[in-house]
Amino acid sequence: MKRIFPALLLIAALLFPFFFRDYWLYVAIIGLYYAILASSWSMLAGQVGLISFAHAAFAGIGAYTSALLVIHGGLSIPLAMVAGALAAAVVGLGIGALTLRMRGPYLALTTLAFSEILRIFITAEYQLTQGSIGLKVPLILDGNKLVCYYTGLALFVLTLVVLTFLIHSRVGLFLVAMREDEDGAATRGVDTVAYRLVAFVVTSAFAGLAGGYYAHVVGLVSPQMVRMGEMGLILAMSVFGGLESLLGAALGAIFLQTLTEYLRIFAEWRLAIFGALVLFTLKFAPEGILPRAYLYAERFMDRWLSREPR
Amino acid sequence: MMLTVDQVTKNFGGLQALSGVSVSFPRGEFVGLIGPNGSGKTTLLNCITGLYRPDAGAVRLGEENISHLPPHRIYRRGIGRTFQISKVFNRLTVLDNLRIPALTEGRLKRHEVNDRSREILEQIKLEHHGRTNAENLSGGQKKLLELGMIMMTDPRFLLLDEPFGGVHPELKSQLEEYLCQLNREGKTIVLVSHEMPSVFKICQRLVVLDHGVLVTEGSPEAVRSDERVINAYLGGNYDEA
Repeated sequence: MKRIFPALLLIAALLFPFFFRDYWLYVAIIGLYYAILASSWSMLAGQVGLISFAHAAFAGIGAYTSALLVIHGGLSIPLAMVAGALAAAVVGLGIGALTLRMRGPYLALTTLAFSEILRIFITAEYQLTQGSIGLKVPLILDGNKLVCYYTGLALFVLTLVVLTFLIHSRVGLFLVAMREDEDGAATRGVDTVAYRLVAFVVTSAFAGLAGGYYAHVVGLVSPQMVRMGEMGLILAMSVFGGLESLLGAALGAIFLQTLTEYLRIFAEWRLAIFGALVLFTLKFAPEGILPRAYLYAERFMDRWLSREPR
Repeated sequence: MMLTVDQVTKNFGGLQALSGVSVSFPRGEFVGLIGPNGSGKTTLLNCITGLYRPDAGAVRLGEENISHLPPHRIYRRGIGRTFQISKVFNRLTVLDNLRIPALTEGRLKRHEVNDRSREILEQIKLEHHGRTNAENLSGGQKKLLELGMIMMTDPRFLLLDEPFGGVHPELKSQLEEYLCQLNREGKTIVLVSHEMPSVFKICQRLVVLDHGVLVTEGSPEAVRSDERVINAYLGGNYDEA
């Protein structure tokens, strides 16, 4: 089931533009942005046990870096997006080097403060960023939705492939060991600070990449991108879909993004509805919706296969 | 190469957990580290293995001061330890638990790591549990797994914190024999245990701590009859003895 489902999902995603155009295709394009953010954040929180509140901020760094390099540096959009990812990785390296030696809530507190500082910086540096009005950004192939969608899908698949490879590698084994027992891992030779830093930098880079993608498919970046509400949305998506499942978190992102469209009439009350959804998930399916769905599907298959023939 | 603890002091707020403790562990010796609850035995192991940094004094491996090194570097210098409450990785399989210490060194190839894991599994009598998640093992089996984990990289020093806790009596005698065998092969073993019959049976030298102070050290026979040790265990004041 766990092998078939992702393959079916990929086929459905590839065929999606043949059935849905314009509005829903645009919703899917934004959904893919959140899917990259949610899956990379779930890698950090679910696999490593690090709670960062700067994931939206790293997306903002990627978005502004990419936008400014295209506007002022004349760089091509793909190269600028890569530069945005690198910029987010470098900032992630700096924050991680400062905080990941410490234990407890320091990373969460530092990233919270960093996000707010970045938002204020973007708002205040009007000449560079156009402040709260937002910066107009060139679009991928003049905003061709089909190209934007498949670019997002390719980036999303790349994110999942790289992070899955990381989880199943030697590094992934160490990360799980550290999450299970940090002292136990350290006294068996695992350099806990170094591997935490690797996970933090890699996930920050993917957030930056997602930010660059967002900038060039929406055509406008603003400080709204890095506000705490956005971070809360990413957190809700990851928890809802499955904190320890990259694909689950991504599906959570796409589901909540779609739900957002249906709940537009509730305006800001949407966030309260999301909050309630997260609470219900934590209460009734703490591992997330997708892992729970796998469990039910496997039970159903077991029962079905073990039926007595009539 | 000798492991030396030199005048190590460790405080937690107003509590002095270790007070100027000096003790040496020469190569190939089997040392028992004993003392009542709260005497500082585990704190001393934490200072040696880098989980705590001493407030004063030094831990030396040969001539090198290793007090400032992080735990993973100390492990890679050949000092392995187990914990009073087993620190195995519950959601990983027994085989993955064993593979982790070997993979951190990076000098063994994947098939060598797998071969070594199977060899250790047999030594610790868990050969039928390789694919079992560690959370499904009994308390005693987890103790054995911990010992197996540190044995993966063949360390020179084994610091064992209550390795007999929760182990079935039959398994305990096997474990005693296994430790003696490792010692005969040249491993230096520091054993922290409240299982006095085992300690007196297998250790060559005993070091006694009480209230963070080294009370005495010597052969099991000498320590058994030392009045300061009796007082420490029964609650007397050894200064008056």
